[in-house]
Amino acid sequence: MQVNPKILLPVLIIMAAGCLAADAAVLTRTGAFALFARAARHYQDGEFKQAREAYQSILDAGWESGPVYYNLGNTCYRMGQKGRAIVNYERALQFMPRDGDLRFNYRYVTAGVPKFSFSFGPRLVSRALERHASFYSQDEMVIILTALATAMVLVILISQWQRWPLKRLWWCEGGLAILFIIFLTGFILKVQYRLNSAFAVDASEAKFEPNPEATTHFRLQEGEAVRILRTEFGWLKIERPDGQMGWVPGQAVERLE
Amino acid sequence: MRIGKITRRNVVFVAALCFQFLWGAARAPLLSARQEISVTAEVSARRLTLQSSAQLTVTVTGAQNADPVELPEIDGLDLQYRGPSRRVSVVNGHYTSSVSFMYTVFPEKEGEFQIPSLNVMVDGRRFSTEPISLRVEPSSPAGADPSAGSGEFSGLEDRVRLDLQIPDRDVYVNQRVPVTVRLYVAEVALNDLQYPRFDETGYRVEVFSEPRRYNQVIDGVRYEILEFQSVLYPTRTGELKIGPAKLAGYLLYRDENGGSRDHFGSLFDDPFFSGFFGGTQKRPIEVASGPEVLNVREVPESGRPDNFSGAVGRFTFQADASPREVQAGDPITLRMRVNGDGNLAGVRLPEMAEGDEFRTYSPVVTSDQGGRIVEQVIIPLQKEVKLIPALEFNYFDPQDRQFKVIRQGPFPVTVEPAPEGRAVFTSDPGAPPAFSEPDESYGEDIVYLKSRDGFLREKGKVFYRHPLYFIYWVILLALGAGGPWLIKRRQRLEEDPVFAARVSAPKTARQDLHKLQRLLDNGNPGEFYDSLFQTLQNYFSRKWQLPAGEISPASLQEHAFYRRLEARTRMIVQELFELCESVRFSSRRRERQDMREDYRKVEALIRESEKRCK
Repeated sequence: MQVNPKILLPVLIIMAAGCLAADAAVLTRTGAFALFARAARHYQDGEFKQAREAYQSILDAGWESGPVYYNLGNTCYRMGQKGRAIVNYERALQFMPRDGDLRFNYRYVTAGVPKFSFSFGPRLVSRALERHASFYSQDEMVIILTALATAMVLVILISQWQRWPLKRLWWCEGGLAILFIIFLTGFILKVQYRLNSAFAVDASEAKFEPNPEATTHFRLQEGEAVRILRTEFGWLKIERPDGQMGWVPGQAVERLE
Repeated sequence: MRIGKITRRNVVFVAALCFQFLWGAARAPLLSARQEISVTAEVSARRLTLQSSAQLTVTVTGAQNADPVELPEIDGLDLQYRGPSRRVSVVNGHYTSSVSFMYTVFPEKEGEFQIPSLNVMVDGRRFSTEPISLRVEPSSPAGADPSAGSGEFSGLEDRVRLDLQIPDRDVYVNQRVPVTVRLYVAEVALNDLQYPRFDETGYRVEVFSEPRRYNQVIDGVRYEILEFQSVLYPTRTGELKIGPAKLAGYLLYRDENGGSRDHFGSLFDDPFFSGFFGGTQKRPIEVASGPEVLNVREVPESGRPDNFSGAVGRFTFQADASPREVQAGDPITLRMRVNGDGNLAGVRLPEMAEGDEFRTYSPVVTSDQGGRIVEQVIIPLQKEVKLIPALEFNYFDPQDRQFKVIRQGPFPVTVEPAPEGRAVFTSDPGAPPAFSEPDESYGEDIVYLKSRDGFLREKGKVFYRHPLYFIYWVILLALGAGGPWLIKRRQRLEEDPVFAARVSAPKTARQDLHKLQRLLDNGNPGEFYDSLFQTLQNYFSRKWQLPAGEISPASLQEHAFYRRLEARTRMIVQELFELCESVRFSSRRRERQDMREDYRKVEALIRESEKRCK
């Protein structure tokens, strides 16, 4: 089959241009870092809007990290958007839960804002579980769970091979199993929290029904944490930390995930 | 560029050139091998003065691989090796090679000298040179004072000498002692002179000043003199040996090589001028003076203050304090300056001691020309403080032989009460500062940005969503579930031979069946039925732990496992056993088709046994 070069050449050029354009549209890690640095300079110069756009561009390009969310949280706070600041700090906590600066800023910004606290059995247990779940990032929990599971299998195999007494096997496996359960619980809590949590980006009213004309049930503070129960026609049924439920428009809150 | 055609003539010409070159190169070693080896020694000049040098050349002709000659020590001559020089020449086809070793001859004294016959080893053979005579005559210095006459010098050491002079031999430790070092030079040229140096054990010498140059006639000889002045400080008592002082430089020689005379001798008659216009050789030289002995005493005990600073000499001391009006808790700086001609290194400099009225800090000491500056910060602790106490510096004057004290101050100060809220230091050094109630609030704000982007990762791209992670879990679970069973089975196989045999029975049977198949292909009924019989025997023996020799249909009947087989199968077993015996012992004929049929029966039998009798 003979191909007319006069047709083939322009086609090839167009395809190459398309590829280049596609490459140009994709932000590489180096490009993301450059944007990160540029955003910091905008922040330093007091240009918070440009800084927020730069950080958002990084996220929109599909890149994320704890410091990006942290810096975005700072920027939102400087712009007076406390709710968005809290959301971004929460997202940053998923990456670096033990970062001192982040925990300080989070506590500072959420001072006086109602938050969910985990309730499971006695208060001491609840607090311990909550601390445990918030101490590790999700990735760290997965790594620990994998390591524990591997250790459990290895213990079983070694016990068979070395003919351990049953008591020793039970003690080892029992200890590992307890740790596994603890971390699995923490992991589940974390995942649930991430999937269901949202924060009010502005002060808003929660209605009895998903209708702007419906009766207002309660007011949401900016930055207040809520749990999303249901979605319907662009409205979200939410639950407040004190258990009160209501309907808010989708744009009134920002999901964590 | 046009390249001409390559013709046959061109090729022949180039080939001839190459051949000639190669032939010459190939012949060269042959030619050199045929040369006679000879060794000669010659000097560039046989008559020298103390200001001139000559070149000794030892040439080995006919060889390239000779080693430099080891020259003997000759009293009055200094021979220094300069290096080799190799030469190859081809003259009228005659190839000559030689290597020359060059030495510079520096005369050290006047007289007649002889360089003895030198032995050179070349290619395992020994060659000798002729001895060479040299005469070193006194030099006639240009520009000499006619009235001064010429001195009698036995050698170089008379023409260059170093003198150490210390006027005062009875000194105190740390006393400033003047030192003079003089370099006397006559009728030779020196260059690149360094400052005198001492081996400073028990004393410290200051840096020498820029030397003074002058001429002097001593015993009828005119000397150029360089005079270096410095001071030294003895640091220990007793008899102290000073020096010798040493001074290094280069002695300049006129090169007597025939073509490089210094024509500008009349103009550059200054012995310290270097030979800019070539024709000179440099030889390193070091001159040393004689030592001197000092008697170093300790400062007297009587009259010595308890806080004697250790300074010996004559000093001045100034002190001042500023600011003079302060609030309680504000610092005041004391500035003290000590100048003098003694050694201040290691001397205790004045400072103010801690007390009830002042908090003091460690003084900072700096040096400048001739003295030391001490700065000390003090803080008045109470508003009642009116005076900064006097400061004093004591020292021992070696000339007056008495201890002296210089006092500065006291310095009046005005201390006002500290404002409220200001930290005020108390007289108790261990107590923290007492604060008045601070009326201060700390600002609150969020912590600043992170400067590093952390580990940027693609959204949703986490390792636990990777397929490999799931595969890992599958393997882990499989290990967890199957691993113990496998280990247990393996252990049982190792420990339980009955079980091991029963487990291995089908595997062994399969091997036997393979063998049976081969025998079937061969078509020999005798071997086939022998093997078939053994297959059955081995299988049942392993399977049910029966002695192989006792396996028979009758003995099998007694086993419960055997009775699990179908009746038809049991009958086949019996038929097979009987068939095997009849073929083996009665030469019953069996066709290949029959053998194949029997093979299938055995296979089916073993299969069923495995199914029914686990």
